[in-house]
Amino acid sequence: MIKAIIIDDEQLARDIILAYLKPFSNIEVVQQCSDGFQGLKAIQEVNPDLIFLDIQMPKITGFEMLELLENPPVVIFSTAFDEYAIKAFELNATDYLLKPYTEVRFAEAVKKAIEKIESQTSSQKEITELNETRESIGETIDRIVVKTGNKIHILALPDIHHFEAQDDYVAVHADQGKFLKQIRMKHLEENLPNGEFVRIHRSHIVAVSAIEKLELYEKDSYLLSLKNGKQLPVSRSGHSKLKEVLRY
Amino acid sequence: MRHPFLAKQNILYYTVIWLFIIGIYSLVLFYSYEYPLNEALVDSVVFNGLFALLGLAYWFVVRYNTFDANQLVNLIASHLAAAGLSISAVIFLSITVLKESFAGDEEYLIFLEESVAWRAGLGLMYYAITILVYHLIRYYDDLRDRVESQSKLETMLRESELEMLKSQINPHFIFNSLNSISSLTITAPDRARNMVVKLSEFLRYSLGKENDQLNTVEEELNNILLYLEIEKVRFGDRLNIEKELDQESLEMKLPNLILQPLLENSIKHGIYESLEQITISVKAKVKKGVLRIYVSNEYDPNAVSKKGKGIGLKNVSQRLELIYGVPQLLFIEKTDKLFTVRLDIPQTKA
Repeated sequence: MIKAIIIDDEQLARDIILAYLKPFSNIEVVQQCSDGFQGLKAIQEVNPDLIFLDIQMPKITGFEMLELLENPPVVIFSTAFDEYAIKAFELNATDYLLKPYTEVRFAEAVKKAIEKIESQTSSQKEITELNETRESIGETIDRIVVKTGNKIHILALPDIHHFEAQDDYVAVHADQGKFLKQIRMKHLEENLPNGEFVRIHRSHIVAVSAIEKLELYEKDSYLLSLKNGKQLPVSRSGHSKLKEVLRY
Repeated sequence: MRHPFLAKQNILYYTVIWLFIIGIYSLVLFYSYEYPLNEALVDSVVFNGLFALLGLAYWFVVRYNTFDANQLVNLIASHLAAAGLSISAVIFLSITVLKESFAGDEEYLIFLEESVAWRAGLGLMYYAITILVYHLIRYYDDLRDRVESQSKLETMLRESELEMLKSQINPHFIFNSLNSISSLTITAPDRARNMVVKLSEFLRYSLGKENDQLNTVEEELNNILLYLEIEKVRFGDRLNIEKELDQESLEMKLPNLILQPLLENSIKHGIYESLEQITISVKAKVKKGVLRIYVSNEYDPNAVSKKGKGIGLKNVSQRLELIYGVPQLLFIEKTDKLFTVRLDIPQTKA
């Protein structure tokens, strides 16, 4: 028996998935969720094999929710998202349904998902690919969603002072504390709003608003002090970027 | 460009002016030089009449030459040629004709011989004045053309600006609604039919409207309520709708679909970002002859909302300014639970 969860904020959108799933006697919908928080909780509790996921939902989007999962199940997106993005997702193995969709199209997606579940391939790789695809779409980052234990924090950009590379993770330093997130520095550098964040070093991106002062500390080498008292090294290319943004 | 004096009325003015000149000329000959009236008249008619005819042809000297710096030599040459040729021709012709006509009057024949110099001077003056008048006419016409095309350009610009600011129905709304309909056909076909009708009515009203068309509050609000009802089918209890409309406001006018982006905003920041029930309210009041529309939504103050705030509202504000010619007709009020937009709609267009 395949355990499935439906995550969509519209009752009617969930209803149609339920209706279309009737012929699949081997799939059992164990829970329906109307937002990403509930979805995340349900996934952790029941550990489903398959989720049907909407993208635009209150609080956190379907993408943001997926980012927080360590071992995501097989995902079928159902969304009215625009075609440009859809094309990008087409490159991925993850299936998607463009609302409204036919029962035939739905059945195809489900069959694909069943095959994947039965062959036991890890979908971690796909999620990574998915995130990379999202990165390549070039959407501007306007908030960061992080998780500590069972708690989810949505960090608004003005609350964030500093991103720091730590092995495979990035430490996000914000008013609310320090959080680890699986994300690439390059992605952050490219998609954070221009002029608000600067990559001053291979391992550091700082918020311009958090900068206290910049000091020359050896010949050709600078040290940046943040308002929270932290001191960070500045690389040569970082220094020229700072110069550009701060216009000095 | 057509010949300015060949138009119906202008040829009349042109003739009258030359008749006047002919009159003056013959009176001078008659009184100052004491020639017989018939000689004075014939001299005047022949000499000035020829210039009157030639004057019409002078247009082409102006028409086919431009005041272009690098064409200056050409311009001077063509004027010198035109003036020289035409004036000599007139003098030669008129003197020949007049000699034949009054061959018996010795005194007059001598006068004719001596008059060549001042006739040339007078001819040059006629030439200069005619050319000047043509240039003025041409300049004035150019200026009028330019002003006309500029104002046409401005109108086009304004229209395209309005086109840009016109609220475009969010395609996500349509696709999500269609998905809801698709779902309802399975569980509740009658509700599906109902929603198809509502969606159709909404689209019929919203598509293909002129930019600066004004509609009554009643029509616009009916459409907005249709939109909200469709959204209510999608969001169910999460959306609560309230309306409060003054009776006298119903017949007042406002630009078509001006409220649509406000409601879309309310749905986006109210419903999309909240898990709780959200009330969206629409009010219409009249204050001192000005229509006041309030659109407000509750919102979750803790939501870290996605970007995009403000552009929709800014467009509405700009559109109002373009239509009514008055800045600042949109007001925003934000408390910790309620977001309200007020529009003041004058009842006279700019």
